[in-house]
Amino acid sequence: MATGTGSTDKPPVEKEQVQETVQQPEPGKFEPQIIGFLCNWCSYAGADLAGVSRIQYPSNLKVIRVMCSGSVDPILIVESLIRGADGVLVAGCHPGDCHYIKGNYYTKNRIKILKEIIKKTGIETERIKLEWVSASEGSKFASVVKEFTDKIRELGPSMVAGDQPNIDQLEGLYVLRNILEDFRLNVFITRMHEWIEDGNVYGDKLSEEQIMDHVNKVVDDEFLRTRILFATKEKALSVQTLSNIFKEPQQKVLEHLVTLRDRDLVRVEGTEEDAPLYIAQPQEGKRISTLPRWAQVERKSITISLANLGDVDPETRSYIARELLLTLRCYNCERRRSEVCHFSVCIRGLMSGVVE
Amino acid sequence: MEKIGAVMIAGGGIAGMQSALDLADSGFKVYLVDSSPTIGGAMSQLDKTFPTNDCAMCIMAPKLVETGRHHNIELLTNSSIKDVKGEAGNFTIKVTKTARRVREDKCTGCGICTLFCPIEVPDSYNKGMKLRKAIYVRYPQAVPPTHTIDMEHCIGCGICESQCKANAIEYAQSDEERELNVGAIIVSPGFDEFNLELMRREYGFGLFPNVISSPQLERMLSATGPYRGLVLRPSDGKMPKKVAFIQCVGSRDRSIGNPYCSSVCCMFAIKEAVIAQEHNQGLQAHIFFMDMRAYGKEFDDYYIRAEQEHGILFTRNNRIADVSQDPKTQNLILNYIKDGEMKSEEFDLVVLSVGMVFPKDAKNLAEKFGINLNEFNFCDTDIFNPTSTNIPGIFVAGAFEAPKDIPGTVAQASGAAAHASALVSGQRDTLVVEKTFPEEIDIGGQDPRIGVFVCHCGINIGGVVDVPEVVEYVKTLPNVVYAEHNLYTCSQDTQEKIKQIAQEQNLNRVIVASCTPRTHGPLFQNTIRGAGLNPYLFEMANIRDQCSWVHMHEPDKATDKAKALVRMAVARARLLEPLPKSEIEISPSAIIIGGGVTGMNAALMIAEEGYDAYLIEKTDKLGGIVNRLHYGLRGEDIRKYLTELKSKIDSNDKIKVYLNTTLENFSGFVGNYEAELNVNGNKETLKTGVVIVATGGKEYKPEEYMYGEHDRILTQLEFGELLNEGKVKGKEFVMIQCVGSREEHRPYCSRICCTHAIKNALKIRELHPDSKVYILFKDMRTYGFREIYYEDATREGVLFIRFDNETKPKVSKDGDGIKIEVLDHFIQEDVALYPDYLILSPATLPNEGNYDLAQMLKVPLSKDKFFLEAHMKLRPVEFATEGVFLAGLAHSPKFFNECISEANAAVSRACTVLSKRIMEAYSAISVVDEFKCIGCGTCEEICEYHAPSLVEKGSGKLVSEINKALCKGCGACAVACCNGAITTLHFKNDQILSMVESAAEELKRESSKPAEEAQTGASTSGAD
Repeated sequence: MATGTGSTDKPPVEKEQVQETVQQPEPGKFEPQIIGFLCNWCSYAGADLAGVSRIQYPSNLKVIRVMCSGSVDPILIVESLIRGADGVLVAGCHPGDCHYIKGNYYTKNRIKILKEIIKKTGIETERIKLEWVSASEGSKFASVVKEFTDKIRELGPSMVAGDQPNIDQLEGLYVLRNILEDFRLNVFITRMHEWIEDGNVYGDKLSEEQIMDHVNKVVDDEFLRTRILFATKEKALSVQTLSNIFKEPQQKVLEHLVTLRDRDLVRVEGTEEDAPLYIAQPQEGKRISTLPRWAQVERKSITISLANLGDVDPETRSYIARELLLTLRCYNCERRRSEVCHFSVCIRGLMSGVVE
Repeated sequence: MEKIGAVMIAGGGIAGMQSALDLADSGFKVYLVDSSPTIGGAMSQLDKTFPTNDCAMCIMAPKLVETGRHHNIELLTNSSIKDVKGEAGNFTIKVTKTARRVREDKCTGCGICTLFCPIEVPDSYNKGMKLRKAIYVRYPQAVPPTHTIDMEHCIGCGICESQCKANAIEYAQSDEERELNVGAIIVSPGFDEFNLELMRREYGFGLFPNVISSPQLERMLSATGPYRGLVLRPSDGKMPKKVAFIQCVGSRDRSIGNPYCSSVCCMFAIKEAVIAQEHNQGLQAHIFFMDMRAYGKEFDDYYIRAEQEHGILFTRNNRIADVSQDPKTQNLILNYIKDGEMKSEEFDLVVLSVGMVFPKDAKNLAEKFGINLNEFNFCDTDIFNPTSTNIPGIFVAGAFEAPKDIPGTVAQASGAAAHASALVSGQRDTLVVEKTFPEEIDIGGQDPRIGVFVCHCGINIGGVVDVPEVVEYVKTLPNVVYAEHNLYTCSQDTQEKIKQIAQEQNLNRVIVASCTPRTHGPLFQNTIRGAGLNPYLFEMANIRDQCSWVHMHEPDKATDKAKALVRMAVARARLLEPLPKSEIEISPSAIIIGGGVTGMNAALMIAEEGYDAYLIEKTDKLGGIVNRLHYGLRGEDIRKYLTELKSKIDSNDKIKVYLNTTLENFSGFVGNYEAELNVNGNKETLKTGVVIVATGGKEYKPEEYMYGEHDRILTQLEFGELLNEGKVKGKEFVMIQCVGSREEHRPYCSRICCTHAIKNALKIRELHPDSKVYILFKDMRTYGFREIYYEDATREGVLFIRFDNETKPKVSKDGDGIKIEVLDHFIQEDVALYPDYLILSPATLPNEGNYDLAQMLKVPLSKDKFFLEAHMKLRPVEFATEGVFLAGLAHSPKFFNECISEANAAVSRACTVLSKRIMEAYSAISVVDEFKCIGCGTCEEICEYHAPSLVEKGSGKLVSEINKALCKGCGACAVACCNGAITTLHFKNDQILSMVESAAEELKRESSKPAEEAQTGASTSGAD
């Protein structure tokens, strides 16, 4: 797709844009992209010590310093994967050493749950790694990076990274990101530790399995609900059609549609053979935060839409889809990907979005 | 003579650092003098700390950096004290600074000189198990990072000078004389290890390679140590399977002149055994000891866990006499007694738990300062003034006062700081430098204009990363209006340059790509403040510690990574926002809860520091449990002390005493607390800046050993009162220790009862020389110099019989008398005793009121229901909640002098708040979006600092509100928020995601490069 390959210079895509961003990976030369979130007090200091001690490790890791591993939102991890990271490393103080007393306990639980639910997208859980590295463990930091880089090399490029993202997985990640913003899941993730250690409001101690059962149910439900919303974004569909698409019993689909209707996210629009057709409600006014004007990178304004791309080969299509996912703003609600949005149903919107 | 608002501290270990920070934060100039080229002392050599297994460097490094960077602390390292003149309030001190031959103002600590120095010498920091160069820095995190030429070994080849791009090497540098004018002096030179060479004959140290000292093992366990955390035998480098620890080497031994107990080695050995077993699979540690002195807070729990969970073997009643070596295997053979039998066993490695002795410098310091030493050359103090020397105005802290652990040291250091600052409190803020900055430029509505300064760091970065290429690349990034490279971005002239360019180019974001923000971030933040920019508009890319130094053999990849790191910094910088300073007014007063000796001392010290003290006592008189004590271990007159203390309190018009008063309600935050009191049934409200919890503890009323069933079965306190009144008549006395302590349901040690028993036993022998005294005990825990009195007691003929939880003594009535049966372990026989008095040593209990008070103050309790401090090692007298402090028995059982130290320490910590009329709050805190908040209270629940609280808004909706004064900006609430309503400023998801996104751009750029570069002929990196 780079200018050299020349196969995809379809009119809607401006040439410069393509030149700048599109390329084919060199075969056999996989250099993993790894993002690392390191806590300021222990792990970042440990990484510095590796430097002071001149311990060599692969250069694939790009470090982002955070104050506490407990401040690493799972959404950041999912977003990193969406943006093409092949692996994400989170490192914090050893249990009991947290500068902020208990931050790393929360991290531990969150990553555990995140790994559990990310399975549903088909992405390898090994792409996410949590490690405890203290300020005096320079050599440990180096070996963690080395092992993790080797592991990712072994796993190969992320299916959502690169030029031809696996749209299913990518969509899965988007769904996951939306779920992570979901109120219910957050409640479980945050309070899990407390419920297990100290008990709930009734003083009952819950087991980890009990909680994970709930988490799994929440994730499964919300996964399906979000996908229903995506599917009905542009076209009204019946329970039966949805059931066929997702290979789920009609009763279950209906149940979810009822919930979604209660949340005012879908409405009925017409019927087909006595079956009501459901369509996603446009979520206008749900926009929550905007970037300050000066923060918006200036880009040449072009409009493209997947729908009117016409016939392109699947490779190109998926590439453009990914580019759009990554860089565009939704024409529907004007959200940018990085903006927090509630129950966002924008994936279709983004695909036919507007580039500023 | 005029008083001087400055303090000199001799000794820059953890004690000196704590004193320095306390004083500097309370408005005094501090000179921190250390004979070593760096500060950090003994703690910097530790791997872990008991009983939490905290990584020592992790908890200490922030303090090191803070001390090194504090603008009111001047470090005088490599320096010794030559002469002291003057008196309390105004001393003149001559200090000689030995030449390092490296200029402190120029050396950046990059370490390039050590790489090329041809001379290797044993590294004393690593106990000789590793080599260092003749130009060196003591340890990687050292403060100051300035290197030093070791003149003993330097051969003068001149290579380091040729390598140093900062021109810091100055071979001709000579010693420098300084004269310091200060109001007070704190002496905290620490301790030395007992010279194990003296035990060569017994234990073969230095003779048998596999006999090592406990500090050597500590270095082995450390990840930065010689074996990177593994325990190896020095003779053959094999992993030892069986490791023996020999306790009390150089302690509790009159034959070598050290009859005292070193206080820390028992716990130190358990910790090392636990960590060694963790690091080396299959290692079996075996500790041989006399008494297990696990006397501190939650120490016994640690001991129990070590035995039961970690399977460490403990053999008591053993002072190992000697060690012999099998010359073939170099294994070591120990003989010991177990279950009454002599045994011989072979070990792969023997660790000698080396005792503490007075610091090398003690005699010199004593001579220069005129301070008295005790018979063991430690500093002499008395129990009423545990941090005062005999010379007014000179105070002491840490192990130099007596062997002690880290929390005890830190508490004393703060305590000594309180005395020093009280002495010169009138001169507060007279010598400190207030940094002033120009008014901040309003950048609202401006497009980002980013300036990037990329550092060569001599050849540290420039030798690996192609710095000019990075600069050219940076210029192409959006919003970057200026980029340049510097030889050393941290040098003073570059600071001026950055300021100038920022103004010329109207920069509104500044990025420095160099080393780590942990040490250098604040420096550059101050620089841009000088250019009128908000410090939060600064961003740093770490292209040295986390790039050039760790990819030295891959220059292309390192250059690419450096570009990526700078690109990520630029991406984030675009989104950075100026954060407003928020200020908190501080009301200059303190409430002290509890009118015992701890509370009284705290109130008095607060008043001496110049603030108002409100002393709240729930009973009708001050003094607490000390009202029932009469004399101390050394015969000190406690009655007299208490009377004097009471009159001092009465006559001080800054102290207001509230008797019969309880705390009813408590609200507010640091500097602005409001307390509702119930004074004799009347309500009264007080506003105050800080609170000190000194609620004490209480004596357990025994339910065992027939207490209360016989009029001659008494507790130690009751017996002490009787003894003092001269009403005790009898010939035989039995004392039973650990009554209610170290039981399954109350596992902690009450710390004071062993010494209390010895004190009363000695008094009995003094009053009734022909009497017999038996003490039935589990372990005698007379740590420190209290050991001398234990020794005295044995000499006096007091009989000690050990029992354990399975063989507790049985008490019964024998007609009118008392009968006690106990199994003696040595003769393996039951012994029957018929004493005139049975004296029980009951546990020290937490107050019942602790729970309610903790709820009210929103502070935690430990599992034993004592108050739980912010950090067991380094913050022993404060809570995580800012402005709330604790001292004395409220924290855990402790001695009279320890309580007084802590009372003063709490005041010293409190003064760091009170001394500021207006406190600057941390700006990068979390904020709540009111509209998104659903008022679920999750944030309130998870915040360890109680910053968020639910408040009712106009509409009746419950909304979380984060108190700016309490928030530490950890971000836990932002992630936990069920509805995404909380954002942590400066670490917003947007800002972080921009970095993620920018990191991911790499794929595109890398592979688009070969084509371009093929033409220019430049080295390619994408092609790898």
